[in-house]
Amino acid sequence: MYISHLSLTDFRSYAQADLELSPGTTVLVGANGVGKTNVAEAIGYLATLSSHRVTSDAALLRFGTERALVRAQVVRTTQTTSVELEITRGKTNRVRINRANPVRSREILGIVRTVLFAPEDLSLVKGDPSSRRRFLDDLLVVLQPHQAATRSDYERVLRQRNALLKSARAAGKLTSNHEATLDVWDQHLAQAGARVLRGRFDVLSQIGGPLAAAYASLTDGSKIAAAHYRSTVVSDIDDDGDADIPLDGPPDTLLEATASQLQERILAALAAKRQQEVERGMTLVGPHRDELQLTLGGVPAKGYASHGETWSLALSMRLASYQAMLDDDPRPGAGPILILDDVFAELDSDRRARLAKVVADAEQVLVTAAVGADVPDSLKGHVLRVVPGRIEPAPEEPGA
Amino acid sequence: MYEGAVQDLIDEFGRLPGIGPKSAQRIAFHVLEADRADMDRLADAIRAVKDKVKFCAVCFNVSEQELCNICRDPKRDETVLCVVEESKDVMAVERTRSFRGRYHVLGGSINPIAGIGPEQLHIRELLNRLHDDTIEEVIIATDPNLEGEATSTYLARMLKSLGIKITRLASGLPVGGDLEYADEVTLGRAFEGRRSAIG
Repeated sequence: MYISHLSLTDFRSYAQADLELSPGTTVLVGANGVGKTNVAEAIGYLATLSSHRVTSDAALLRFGTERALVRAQVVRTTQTTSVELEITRGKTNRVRINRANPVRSREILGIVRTVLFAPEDLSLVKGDPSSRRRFLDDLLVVLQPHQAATRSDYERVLRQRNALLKSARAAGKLTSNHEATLDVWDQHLAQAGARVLRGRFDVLSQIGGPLAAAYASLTDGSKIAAAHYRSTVVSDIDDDGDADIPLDGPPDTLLEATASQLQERILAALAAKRQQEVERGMTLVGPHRDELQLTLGGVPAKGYASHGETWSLALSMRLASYQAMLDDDPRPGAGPILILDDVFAELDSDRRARLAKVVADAEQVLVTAAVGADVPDSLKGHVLRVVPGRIEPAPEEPGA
Repeated sequence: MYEGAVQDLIDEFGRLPGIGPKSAQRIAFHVLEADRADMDRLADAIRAVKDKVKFCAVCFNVSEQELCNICRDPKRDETVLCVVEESKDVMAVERTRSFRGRYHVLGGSINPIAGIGPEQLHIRELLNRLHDDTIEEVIIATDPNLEGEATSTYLARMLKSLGIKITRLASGLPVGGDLEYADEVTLGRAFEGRRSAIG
């Protein structure tokens, strides 16, 4: 798919910006702080309803304004859809699809599909387990939009159960009343948790192969990249995501379990941990404490991979999700839009060339860079120059 | 800020559910400008509701007497009991005119974040009502949200051993609606709760 027109009103640094885009590569060049990433962010927001830079929507509004608009024309296969997303301070966001009446913003999920590469992606490898869980969950919602409710259901049960554990801890002992209520929340947590796990395992099976392939294509292929799901349901995992079972242990059958089998496993794990949970006043077992461990040649990437390897692995994660989306809807003209936000500056020339080669097949690629020379020549499609608050076609650069 | 009595009134209205500061101010000025007799009636109504209305000693529905009019009604089927969260849920079920049994109002749902556990609800009283063999079926009609479902699970576990028929209201598609407009969760539930179309 591709975006043919993008219009931003009071979004970040732009009072008003209109952008005509075409399939193929578009490079946005401009000095630091002029608003290149804001364009990438706006498109990413249409796809995921969240920003890759901030957790709160407030920062997306132009300073001093109350309402931002992101409008886009999206062409998918032969179909053109217009979307208009309204972000209002302190209110729920609304979306208009094909100029119909505004509906809740969730309806937009699935219309625009993007894969966004950004410097923040390093945290996929080096960061907390939460960033890798979020990677899996976000991709799950893209591939199966109804799963958005699954995750929020789980979080609501979790909050209630934690509140109960906290009050049990405050009471100093587990009364029979606490015990009986806890049984109820255990059941609901296991039910919601099993759905989250099943969804994550589905995603994992879709990205396993593409991850190894992407890593091989970005490097010389001497190390194999892999992702292993480490679940608190089967083993102890500490706050850094380190599990107590070795990586080369026997493969766990968890990944193939049905939702009802997973529910049983979670219930058993909760029962085993109950005393400890009451002592700490929080839920210690479940998908919210799990880890997606990344390995290179059988060695954990976190802590062992070099800076260059970390970058290649982070890019491979994004490329794997790109491949998963392609596999999900293989029709020509339905693949996601690739956005490479400030990525090339971070890579050496060898990795730049390899990445450019991998992404060249995508229908639409948006690249932002502070210096045009950072972008490999093979990706120098259409160049736009970004100046504070405005975007204009770039003058022909000598030698460009 | 207004002076004395007016601000007090705005503050009091603002504490009511669903009323924000702007609405509170609007209602307060309406009260100020309205007929004295009308407002006396309002004040009397508020006072009367606090003085006279109590909760039924059996089912905890709102009532002006010891027993509510449903519990007093000998024509009601005493073998079926419908368990709801609030008195207003009794009214909702009554409007269907298809339920002829009696009620039990829990007074809320299990909600640890709000500090509400089973001991804060009228669950012990429910168990007492089930001690003799009069009641043959308990219909759990708590809200179909997380807290209501948890309360339902809790009740089902408590009552399982009593050997009474325990049922839960169905969830699914609204009558007269379109399938295409149903949200995924509701439609998914409707699939899980589907039943045989033949007899």
